[in-house]
Amino acid sequence: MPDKPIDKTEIVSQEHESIPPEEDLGFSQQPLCREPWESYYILRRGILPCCYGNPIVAPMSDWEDAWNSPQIQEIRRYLSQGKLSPYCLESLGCPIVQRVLAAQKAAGNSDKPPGRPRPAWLRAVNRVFFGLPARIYRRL
Amino acid sequence: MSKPNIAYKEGWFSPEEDQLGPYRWMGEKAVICCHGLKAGRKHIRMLAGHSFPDHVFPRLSCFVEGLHVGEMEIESAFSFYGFSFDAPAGDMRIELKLDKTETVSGDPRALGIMVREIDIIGPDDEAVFFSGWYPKDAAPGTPAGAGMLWMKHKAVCLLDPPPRAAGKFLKLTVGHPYFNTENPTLTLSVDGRTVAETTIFPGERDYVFPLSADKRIRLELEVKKPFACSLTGDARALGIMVHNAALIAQQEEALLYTEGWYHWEYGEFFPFRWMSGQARVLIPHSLLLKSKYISGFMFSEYADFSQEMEITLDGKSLARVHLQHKWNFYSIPLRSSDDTPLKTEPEGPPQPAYVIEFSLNKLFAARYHPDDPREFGIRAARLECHHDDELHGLAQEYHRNSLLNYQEMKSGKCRLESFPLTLGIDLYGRCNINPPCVYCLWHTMKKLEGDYKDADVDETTLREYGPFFRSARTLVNCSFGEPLLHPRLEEILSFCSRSKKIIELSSNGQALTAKSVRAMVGKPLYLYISLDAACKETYAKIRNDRWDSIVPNLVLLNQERKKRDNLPKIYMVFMPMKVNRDDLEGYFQLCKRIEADALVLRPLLYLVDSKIEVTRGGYTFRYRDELLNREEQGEIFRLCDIYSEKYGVPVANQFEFGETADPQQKAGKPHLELQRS
Repeated sequence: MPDKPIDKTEIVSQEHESIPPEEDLGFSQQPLCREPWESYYILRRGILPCCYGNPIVAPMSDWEDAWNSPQIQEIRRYLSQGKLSPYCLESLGCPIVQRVLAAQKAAGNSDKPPGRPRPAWLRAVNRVFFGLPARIYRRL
Repeated sequence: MSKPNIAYKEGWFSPEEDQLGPYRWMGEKAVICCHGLKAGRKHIRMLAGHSFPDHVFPRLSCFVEGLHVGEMEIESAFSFYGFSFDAPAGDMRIELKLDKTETVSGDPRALGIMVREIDIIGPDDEAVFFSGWYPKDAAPGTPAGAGMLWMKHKAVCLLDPPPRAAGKFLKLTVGHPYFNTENPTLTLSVDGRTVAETTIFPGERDYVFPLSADKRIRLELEVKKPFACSLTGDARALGIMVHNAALIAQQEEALLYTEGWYHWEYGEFFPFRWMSGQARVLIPHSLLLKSKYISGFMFSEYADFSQEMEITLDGKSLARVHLQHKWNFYSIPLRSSDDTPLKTEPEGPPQPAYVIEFSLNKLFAARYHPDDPREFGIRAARLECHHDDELHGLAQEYHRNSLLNYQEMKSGKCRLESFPLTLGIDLYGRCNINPPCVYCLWHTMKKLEGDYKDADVDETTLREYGPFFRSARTLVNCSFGEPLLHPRLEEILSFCSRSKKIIELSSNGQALTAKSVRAMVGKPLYLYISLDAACKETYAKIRNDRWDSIVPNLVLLNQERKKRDNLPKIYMVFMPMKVNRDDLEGYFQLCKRIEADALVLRPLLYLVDSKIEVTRGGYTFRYRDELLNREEQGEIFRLCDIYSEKYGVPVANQFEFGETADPQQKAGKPHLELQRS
């Protein structure tokens, strides 16, 4: 991953443009979420990069190595590019993720409801055996 | 000591009363007599005013037993005047004379001045603000702060040395409310000798000057240029506001705060003082000799390490540090690298104390505290001296890592050399609520934990985390278990406290006992108590029937923490759901009752198509039905604003996780270490 400055993106919600640089408290040039740099959770259930992380990225015993594991590095890489990683998008308990998804939905960027997409084979099985669109089946 | 008996004799008119209390008119001459006086230095103090035109100042002369002891011009607004004299024992006649009187239409009396009270102050009486002071309630609308006295351009205090000690310093707590004007210069004199001169800044601050005294002194204060009436909107000539004046003796082992500090505040995590751009403490010579470091927690508002602080000892630089956002522990060396004290006196006697000065390169900008125009730099908790090399080394390592971590984040680095600033830990895997709370993912988590379910995690484990522990600013317990049940809770918290870590624990409140309370009080701890209910009925639907035992223990915790710096901070967690949303106002009332530091609004974890369904307390809890939609959440936030105002309980909204606080509200918001734990 090349080291590069973090770009400001549309999903980094900041309102400090009018603040003189010397009075800027320093929040305006930070990534969407700082947790994977600043936080680390060594828990019985496993290692998490943040308090809303899901699923675990390593067992508890791997606490020394998981800090720079490929998975956590990938999360940092996406965030440094102003995006949410696939891991973050799976962590639906996170208010940041919820806000980003809601903003995308409001902007018409995505019409998918928050949740994991059902695999194509499951949709096909459903149609064959139940004759119902997946949208309805999901509600049952 | 009983006050001498004062009798109004000839020359006084009958007592009258107005909205400020009783008073008497005196004519051209009036007499008072005092009985039962002890011999010695005495001071007569009177509160007087008049109804002549504003520019007329009748002159009052005072004679004690026929001897002239002084004269003063009396202004129309009520203020204190005083005369000092040596008196013999026994009875005494005091005569007051005016150079003019006036008559008003419809009143044939020749009126001089109005006198509200007269005191005779002896050597055994408490020292006072003597003459040249306006009374606190003299004029409605006076721009005076609570408990402050306005002085005129000249005033006198009578000050005693502290009990059983010689006074070494004069400590004045003074200020003024005018931010965009020239600051007044205050000159202090004792017996006609100038002892100090200083500029008085807006806001209430302490000013400390060396001043030795082993007996009562008469301190004269003078402000050459009182504030203009056009500025104050007050016809009186106002000097400065004084909250307190005292002679103090510095303790041998303590730092003495001098200039640049505002008063102590207790609403934040640590008791702290706001520091202005520059501030000083005095360190006694004996303490300097035995200490290697000065240390304390400080809070910078800047998140980019751009605020820096220079620390000097008697003008020589000790260190320049990048200040880190939030509360962080700093340790500054007082000695050079060869371990000799930086300030020794090889020649001549040592000074009694030395000045340590803190200077900031930039302030907390005024735009972030528009309702308080004082000059703010950083918040500083209690400063202390120590000689613990290991603690100092830890602090240095910690700050190096924090800066590196920030630089790595800013540069978008993914493989880090640095370590995290917040370390999530898992202290205890067992819980005292069985069956678990209705929304708890207990069984899933215990399955995930597998062999680690009952693993021991204590202070030894934390030490084994090495740089992950040493670099952490905050330790957040995220157990699926009740941490207050940990058999080594006290040892763990003490270890973390000694290591200058800030700790966060979430508890269900049912494990609060005298023992766990004892383990927590005085520790740098945020305690989140999750009740989610304001009555036993709702509580029974979420947890169990043990509601009645919880609140008395919360009251006990609150009582005990008041004796120990108001720590831990108590954050009462409320997860709004369908089952409890009618309890919201009651929860605010509960927070008020136990004097919680904030109500924490925490979202119920979003689970896709959760199948959790539990019937308890006569209620069927269906997880997916309990989640509130955005409109319902918005209504909860609106009600929280109303109740927060109504009950005076701050709200910390964890739905806003990851958002930057509105800078204009920043100073007033409850500060959460983490948005969720």
